[in-house]
Amino acid sequence: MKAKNMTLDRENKRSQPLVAVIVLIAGVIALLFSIGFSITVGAADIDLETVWQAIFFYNNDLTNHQIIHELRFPRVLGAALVGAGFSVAGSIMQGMTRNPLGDPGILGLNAGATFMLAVSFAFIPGLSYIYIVLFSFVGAGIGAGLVYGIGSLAKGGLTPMRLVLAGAAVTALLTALSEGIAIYFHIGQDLAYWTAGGVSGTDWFNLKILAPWMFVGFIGSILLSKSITLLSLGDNVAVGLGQRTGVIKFFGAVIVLILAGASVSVVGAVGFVGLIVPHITRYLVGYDYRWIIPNAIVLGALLVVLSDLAARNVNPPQETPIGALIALIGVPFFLYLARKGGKEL
Amino acid sequence: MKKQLTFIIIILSLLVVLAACGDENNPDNNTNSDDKQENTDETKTFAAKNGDVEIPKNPKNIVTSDSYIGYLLALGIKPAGTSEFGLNVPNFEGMLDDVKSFGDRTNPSIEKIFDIDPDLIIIGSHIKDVEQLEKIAPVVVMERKGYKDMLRDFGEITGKQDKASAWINDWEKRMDELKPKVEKVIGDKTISILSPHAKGGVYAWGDENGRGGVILYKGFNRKAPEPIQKQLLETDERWMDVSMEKIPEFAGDIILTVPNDGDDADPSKVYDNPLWKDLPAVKNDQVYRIDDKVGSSFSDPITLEKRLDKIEKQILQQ
Amino acid sequence: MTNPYIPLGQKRQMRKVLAIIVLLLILIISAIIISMNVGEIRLSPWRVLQTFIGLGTADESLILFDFRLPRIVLSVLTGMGLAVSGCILQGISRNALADPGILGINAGAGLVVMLFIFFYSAPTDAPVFFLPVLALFGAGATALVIYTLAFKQAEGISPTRLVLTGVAVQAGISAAMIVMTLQLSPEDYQFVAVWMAGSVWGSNWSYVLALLPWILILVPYAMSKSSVLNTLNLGDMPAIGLGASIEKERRILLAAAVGLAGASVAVSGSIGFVGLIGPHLARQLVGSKHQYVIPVTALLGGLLLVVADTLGRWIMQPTEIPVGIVVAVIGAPYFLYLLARSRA
Repeated sequence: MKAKNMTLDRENKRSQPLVAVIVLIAGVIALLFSIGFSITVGAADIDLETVWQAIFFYNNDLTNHQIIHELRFPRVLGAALVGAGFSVAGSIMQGMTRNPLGDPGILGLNAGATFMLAVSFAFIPGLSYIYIVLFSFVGAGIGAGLVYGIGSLAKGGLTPMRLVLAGAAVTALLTALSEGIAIYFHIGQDLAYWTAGGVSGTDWFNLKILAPWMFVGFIGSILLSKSITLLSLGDNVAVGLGQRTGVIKFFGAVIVLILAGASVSVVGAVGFVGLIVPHITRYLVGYDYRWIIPNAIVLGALLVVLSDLAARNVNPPQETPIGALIALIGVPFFLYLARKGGKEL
Repeated sequence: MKKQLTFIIIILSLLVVLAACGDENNPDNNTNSDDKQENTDETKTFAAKNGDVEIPKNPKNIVTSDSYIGYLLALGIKPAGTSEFGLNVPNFEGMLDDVKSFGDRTNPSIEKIFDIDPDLIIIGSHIKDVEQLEKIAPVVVMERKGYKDMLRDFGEITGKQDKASAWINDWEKRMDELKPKVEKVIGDKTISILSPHAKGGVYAWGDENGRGGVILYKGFNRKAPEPIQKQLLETDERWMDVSMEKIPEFAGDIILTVPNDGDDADPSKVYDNPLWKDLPAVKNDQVYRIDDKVGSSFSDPITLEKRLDKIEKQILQQ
Repeated sequence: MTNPYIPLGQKRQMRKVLAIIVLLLILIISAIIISMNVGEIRLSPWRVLQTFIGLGTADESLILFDFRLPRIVLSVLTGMGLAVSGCILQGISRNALADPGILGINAGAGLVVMLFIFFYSAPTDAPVFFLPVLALFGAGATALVIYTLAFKQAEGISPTRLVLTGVAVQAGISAAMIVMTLQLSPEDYQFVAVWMAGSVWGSNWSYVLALLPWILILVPYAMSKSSVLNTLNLGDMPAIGLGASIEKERRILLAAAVGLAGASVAVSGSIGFVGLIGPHLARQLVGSKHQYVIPVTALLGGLLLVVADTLGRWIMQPTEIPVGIVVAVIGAPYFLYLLARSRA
C-alpha cells in the first residue's frame, strides 16, 4: 500500500524536460566555472596570470606551472569524476530499488574498501597506489555484494529498511574486522588517512586508468535510463510494459559497482554524495531517469569539486577530509529525509 | 512515574561518583605491592607524574612502555618485559633477547605482566588500568621531558645516576666533535625532515618528535625552511600534514625522509611527481633516507645514537 | 490443588521458562569457571576451586580475585545491561532489529572519549572514573539528540524514523571523529582505537560496584513493566485502545534502556550486537511475553559476553582482542541471518 502511494506520487509529478535542459546547461556552466576557480586557488599562492599561462603556455621548468598542471588539474578532474560516479550510482540504486535512501556509503561499499585496505596494509607492505586502488575496488565489491545478496535473500525482497539494516550490519562486521587488524598491526591511523576521503592523490596516471571505466559506466547508465524509469514505477508496471526486469537489474548493479567502486577507491570513504544529488536532481527535473542521470552527472561533479575546493582551503596547508565536509551537508539532509519520509518507507 | 525514574537515574549517577571517591580511599589496594617490596632490601621515593612512588632502591626486573626501552638499555639494564611493538623496533635489534612481551602498547595483558613478576613498572600516560598494575609492583608514570632530563630521571629510578651523566657527557662530546664538520657540510643550508606518504603529501616534523629533529635542530642548531621554522619549531606543534602543493616551500636545501610508523604503503606517488623531482634538494642529490620505521617517534639514547650514526654516515661523509 | 485462576498452558510455559533459566544459569557458571582457568598464568581447575574457598596462595588469590573475577563479573553485567536494553528498545519500537547501538549510544560515548583525548591527551592523567562518567554522559546526550530529532509532535516516535535518525547522527559523529583521528599522536590513537573496539575497560571491583546498581535497579524495573511492553508490542492503535498513555510509557522505558546501555558502554567500551542477539534468541526460546523474555535475555547477554571475552583473551595471547570485535564477528552474521529470514 505504501509503495502504491509512492507510485502515485511519481505519476503526479511528471518529468519536466524544459527545466531539465535549463538545469543541465546552468549546471555545466557552473561546473566549468568552479573547475576554473578551483584551479586558481589552493595552498600555494599563484596569481591568475600564472594560472592562465600554465594552462595555455605550459612551461615544465616553473614550479607554479607544475603545481597547476600536475596537481590541481588532475585532482579537480578526479573530483568531478568521483562526484559524477557516486551520484549516478546513487540515482540508479534509488531508482531500481525504489529506495529513497540508496547511497553507496550506506550499502557497505566504504566498509568493504576499508577492510581490504586493512588487509593489504597488514599483510602486503609497500603496496603502490595503483594496487591500493585495486584492493579498495575489490573490497567495495565485496561489501556491496554482501549487502545486496543478503538483502535480496529475504522474503519480500529488498525493502529500503532492510537494505539500510543489512548495510549497517555488514558495515559493523567489516569495520570490526578492520579494527581488529588495525589494532594488532598498528596501522589504524594510517588506515584512517586513507578512509578519511580526499582526492589529493589523483594524478594523470590514475585518471588514465579511471576515466575509461567511468565513461563506460556513464554511457551504460544513460542507455539504461529509460528502463530504470519504468522500474522506478514498480516491478509489476515494468513487467507489464514489457521490461525484462532481471536483465535490467543485473546491468544496473554492474554499473553501480563500477561507478561507486571506482569512486570509493579514489576518494576513500565519502558518503552522502550518492544520496543527496539524486534527490535534488529529482526535485528539479522530475522522475524521468533519462533526464535525471545527465543532470546527476553534472550536479554530482559540481558538489564534489566545490567540496574539494573547501577541503583545500579550510585549513591550509593541511587538507580537511572531504568526507567530513560532505557529511556536514549530508547528515542534515538525511535527517530531513528521515523526518519527511519516515512514514512511507 | 517519569519523576521517579529521573530520581533513580540521579541517584545512580551519584553512586558512580561515590564509588569513585570511595575507591581512592581504599587502603586494601596496596597490600600486595607491600608484600612484593619486602623482597627487595630497601626502597626509595621517586616523584613521578602519578605522585610520590615508593620504588625499590635497585630495581632488577623492570617492565616498561616501549618508548623507554632505550633509556634503560643505555643504563645497562635490559627490561624484563615490554610491548609487542617495542620488541620489533629495529634499532633495538639484538639487545632485547629474552625480553618478554606484554601484548598491546596501550592495553597490556595484566596477567602477563604478573607472570613476568617485575619489581618496578614504568609507563607513559597511555596505558589503561594503572590500579591493576599497582597490585603487581610499584608503577611510575613518566613525565614528558627532553631526553637528557628523562635519562637523568631514569638514572635516579634505577640508582645509576653516574651512568646517566656519563652517557650525557659522552653524547655532548660526540656532538661537539661533529659540530665543525656540520658547520662545513651543512652550514647555512636549511634542512627539512619529511615523511612522504602514499596518499600524495608529506608530514613535516619539528624538533620534538624523534626522527632526527632532536639532533639536527636542537643539537646542531641547524635551520629549517621558513614555514617549518615558524609553524613547528617556534610553536608547540610537533608535526603537520602538508599538501603536495606546499612541498616546494617546505623542502629545505637538504631533505631527510623518514617513513612514518605503520605507514607501509609505497609513497612513490610523491617521489615520482615532477614537483618532487624538480626540488633543488632532489636535483642536487641532497635527499637522505633515515629508515627508522618502527619506533621513529622515539628519542631515547639508543635511538639517538643510531640515528646520529646514520646522519654522520650519510650526510656528513662527503 | 491446582490454582483455578492459572490456565494449564501457562503453567506449563512457566515450567519451561524455569527450566531454561536454570539451564542458562548452569551454562553461565560453567563459562565463568572455564573463563577463570583461561589466562597467561596456568591455574588448574582444582587450584581455582581451592583458591575460591580461600585455600590458595597470595598470588593465586590475587590472580583470581583481583585480575580475573572482576573482569568476568563485569562482562556478565555488561552483557546483561546491553541485552536488556536491546530488549526494551525492540519492545517499544516494535522493531525486531533495534539495538542500543542504533540509538547512538556507542557512537556518543566514543565521541566524548575521543574529545577528551583530543584536548587533554594523556588518559592516565584523569581520575580513574572520569572517562566512564564522560562516556555515560556522551551516550545519554546522543540518545537524547536522536530522540528529539526523531520526535514529531503529531505522531510521536515512529520506529523507522528512530532507526534512520540514528543512522544519520552516527554518520555525522563518525565524520567528526575521523577529523580528530588525523590529529592524534600514534599512542593516543591506539588508546582510542582500543577503547572504541570495546575492551572491558576497567577490570576493578570498583567498576563492578559502579555498574551493579544500574543493573540491579533497571533490569527488575523493566521486568515490572513487562505488561506495558507486551501492550506496546501489539501496536500503537490497540495500545491506545487499552488506555495506556503510550508516549509517556515509551519515553520512560526508553530512558531506562539508555541508562542500562550507557552505563554498560561506559565501563566496557563500545560493544554492539549484544542488544540485538540476546532478545532474539530469548524470544525463540520462550515466546514473546516480556515477563519471560527479559530474564532470559539478561542471562543470554551475560553468557554471550563472558564467552566472547574469554575467547578474546585466549585467541592471540598475550595480545587481547577487544571483546567488541569478538562480539561483532559472532553477532553480525547472526544479524544478517535474521534479516535474510525476516519478512517484509
